[in-house]
Amino acid sequence: MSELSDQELATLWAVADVLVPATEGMPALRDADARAEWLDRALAADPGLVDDLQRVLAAIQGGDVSATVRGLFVSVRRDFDVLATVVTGTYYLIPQVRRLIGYPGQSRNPPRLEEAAEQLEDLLEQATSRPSFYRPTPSRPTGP
Amino acid sequence: MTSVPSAPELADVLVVGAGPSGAVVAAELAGRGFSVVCLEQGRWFNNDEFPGSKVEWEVLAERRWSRDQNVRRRPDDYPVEVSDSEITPIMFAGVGGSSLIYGGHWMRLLPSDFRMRTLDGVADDWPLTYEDLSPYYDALDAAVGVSGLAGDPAYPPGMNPPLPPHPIGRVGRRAAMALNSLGWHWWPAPNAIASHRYGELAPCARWGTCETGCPEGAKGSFDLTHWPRALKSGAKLITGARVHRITTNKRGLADGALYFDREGREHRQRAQMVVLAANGVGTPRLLLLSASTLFPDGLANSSGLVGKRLMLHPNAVVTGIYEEDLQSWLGPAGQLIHSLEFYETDLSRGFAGGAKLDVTPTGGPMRVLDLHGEAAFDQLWGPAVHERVRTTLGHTVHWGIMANDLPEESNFISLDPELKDSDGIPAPKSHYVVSENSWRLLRFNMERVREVNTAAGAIGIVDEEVGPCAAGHLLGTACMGDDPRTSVVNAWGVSHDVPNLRIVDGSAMTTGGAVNPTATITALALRSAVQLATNARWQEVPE
Repeated sequence: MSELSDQELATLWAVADVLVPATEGMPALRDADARAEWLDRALAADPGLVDDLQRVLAAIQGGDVSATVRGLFVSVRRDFDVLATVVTGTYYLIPQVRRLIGYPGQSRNPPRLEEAAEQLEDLLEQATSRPSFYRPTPSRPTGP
Repeated sequence: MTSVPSAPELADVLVVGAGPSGAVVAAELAGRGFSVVCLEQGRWFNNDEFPGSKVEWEVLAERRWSRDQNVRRRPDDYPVEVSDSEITPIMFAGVGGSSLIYGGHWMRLLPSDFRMRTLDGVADDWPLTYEDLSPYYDALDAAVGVSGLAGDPAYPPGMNPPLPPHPIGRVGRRAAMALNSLGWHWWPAPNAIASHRYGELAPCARWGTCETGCPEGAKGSFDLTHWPRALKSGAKLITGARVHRITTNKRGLADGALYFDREGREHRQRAQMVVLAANGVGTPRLLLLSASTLFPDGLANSSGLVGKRLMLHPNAVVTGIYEEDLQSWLGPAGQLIHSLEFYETDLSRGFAGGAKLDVTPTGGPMRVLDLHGEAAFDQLWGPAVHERVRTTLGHTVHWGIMANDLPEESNFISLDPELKDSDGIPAPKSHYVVSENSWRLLRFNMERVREVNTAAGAIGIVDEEVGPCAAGHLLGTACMGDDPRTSVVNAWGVSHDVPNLRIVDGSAMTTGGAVNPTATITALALRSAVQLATNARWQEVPE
């Protein structure tokens, strides 16, 4: 379970509703990560974020979340970036979200043996037909 | 003081730093029978530690695996004070050094880079030529397993990468088609990333995460390409060893180094010759820390140029957005294609020097949002965020523009009077202002890249001008030259002041060119090591 308290988690979900809201076709973070398991993974990947996050959430709690987040964007960018990193860092880990945006994640994609040559064969003639254009320089022999 | 039992008490050669140039020197000299000890402040890393194969890759890359040591804040790294620097110099402490997190763009300088004063009337000529360095470039190409294609018309003939090029992907094809339509140069880019199995290197699996370490073991980082050979030949590598002083004897010869281990104990390693391979920030820091009665302004600093002439290669990025799905996250990353169309100086453009243009993968959704970081709130967040990701992720051609920043004494490394590393040693401070020449150069080339994107059918173009950014090309701070009054080392990297002290990292570069420097740094290091071995019998030594 998340290192965040229930109140902190509720505030974070509200921040996420501002930054990456539910739209037709895209879920809210609070729904896509209902058990906060992906949030835990994001925070575990960057434990140094937790203290900063809790500090920023404490400053937001109880107020108008949308107005506060917008205010941080304009005037305290460092704090805004903490929120944005946690929210997007979590949101785009979620397999459901990755499927929806068509991002497979970084993964092993060894090319076929012929792939490099196939990708060059209709393009390279023009590049190879260009004469050399480096500027030659006078040499100065300096053997060991 | 504690001795290190497994290291020779008196080494023939002490190397400071186990990054690319230190690895090359250690492997070459140990292979020729010299007793070699290398002191490295970092540790070994293995492929499983790198975040690229983990689902949290982008989160991990934000801080724990940031390329910026000031963000990463590992105890092995030292901080760099940057309050007076428009660009943050970045590096990585570990066996293999910053090659663990480099992109492997394996580029040679061009012949004209060695003759900027003669050809363009700016900066300085090197005390050697492209032709002098060419055999060593060839040797390094073979050692690191460069993948590429021979025949690039931007270069003299003779470059023959040992491995075929990587697929350039949909991204590279889109860029190449546009460059063809404009009649501009491009070439399948050379990378120190194995396209096929090669020695210790696995074939690239296109994770696209090269700059946070290769999880596949396919990238030519020097922990893989050189350290196994160096160790097999008898070199002794001591990790967790942070050097804080090069010691000298009464005759002014280097005779060893003092270092702290990870428990904070101080040790001394004695040596007949000392080779500094601690990068363009670490080396001047160490020389300045080594001031003494004999060398009151810092070791090897009679010219006053130690730390001066810092070059960092200011970068700009211009990204085209396309309707077509280009799979822009697909590796290698690495460069897909490069263009040197605007590399050579043309003073009619209003600036000296030029730029390398390269096309690379863009990354995942967090990077995509970062691309749009200058947008207003309602154009980036809220419902707009989904549209941004839908239209941008996987649909980009990401162009890097690397500027040839000329050496200027007003850009320099000093010792910070307050900031210290985890051993209490003064941290380096970077002083760097992007020059008017660099700004003109960058803006000219950004305009050219916009033209390419337009020719390629981009539906949107996003600019990222140089700003408070990071640069890993740390060059020029102990420059090479013939005249001891205007340079720190000679054409072999030997200090003008201390005849048994060599500098083999990016510090020694007279000018920086506009290409990724590791090929040049390591070729210079190999050339210096061969010359050291050839001339060792005449070398003046302390004992």
